[in-house]
Amino acid sequence: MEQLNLAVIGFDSMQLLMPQAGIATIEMIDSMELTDAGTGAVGSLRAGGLEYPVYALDARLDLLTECSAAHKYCVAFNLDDQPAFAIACETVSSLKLQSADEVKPLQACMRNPQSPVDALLLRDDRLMLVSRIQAMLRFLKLEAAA
Amino acid sequence: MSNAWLLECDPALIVAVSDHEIVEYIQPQRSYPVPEAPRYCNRVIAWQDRLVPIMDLALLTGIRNLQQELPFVCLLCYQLAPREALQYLALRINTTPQKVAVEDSQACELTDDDLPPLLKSVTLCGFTHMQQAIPILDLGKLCSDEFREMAQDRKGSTARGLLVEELVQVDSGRAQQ
Repeated sequence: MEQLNLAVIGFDSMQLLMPQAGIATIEMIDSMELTDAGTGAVGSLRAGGLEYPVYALDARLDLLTECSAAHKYCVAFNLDDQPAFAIACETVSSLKLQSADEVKPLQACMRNPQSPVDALLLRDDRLMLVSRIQAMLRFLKLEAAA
Repeated sequence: MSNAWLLECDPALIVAVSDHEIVEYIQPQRSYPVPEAPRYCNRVIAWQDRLVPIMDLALLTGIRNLQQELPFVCLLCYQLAPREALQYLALRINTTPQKVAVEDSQACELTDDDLPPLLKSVTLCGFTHMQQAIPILDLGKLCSDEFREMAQDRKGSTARGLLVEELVQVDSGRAQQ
């Protein structure tokens, strides 16, 4: 059975699961530099000679215009070895699933082509949103441009 | 003669499903919001190791605009093709499902007055019950990509409106306390 190694990114009572292999770096939120309003990002993160726009989201996946005191970390992701984005979060941990079957793909009636959510996972009575880096990048760009 | 179940999604919207498609009538202990899902189908319930979407047909068809916490759902199952795995859907309903026997003589054409236009494409056929035309739903089509795209094109709605309404309800509840 295929194992899944996921990063659990917590913010605003929501838990987002992203592929752990795509993480470029995890930094303290203090490492972020503030950016001008209107870009959709709350800041930018420089790491390893690369720059990542940092986005903060609420539980509805709306973009926030600034971080709150609860945000502690920035989790930066690469896509095809290029910097993609970073997400400001309150908690970050890892989750190893013994089988990909534990993740429940969204049924057709719940899908939204613009949504970054591909699947769901229920653990300890909490619903976690499963996403992929490419889908999240597309979503963040759309939201930032809106 | 065959059996069907009447499901009241709203006093103005009663639909039917086939006898073999009904699984349970339950009051979920908890449901979970799914951000960015279509507004009429943006929560799931946990049921037997599955996460089952909850669909609100009254919200979908515009009969009701505000989300209401209906306490009951009817758990339905369907197959997209013979021998394929069962799929599940929870439909928000107002009252206990009612089992009725349907005879061929009750078959009727469904007009625009009988049925919200959006539901026409997901209706198998109709029958008359108590002087009311009742559509029998095609659950496979109702839960399909094609229907979701059509519904979203018409309504342009996502989860956000609903979640905002819920937050407003929670806030107003707090204010009353």
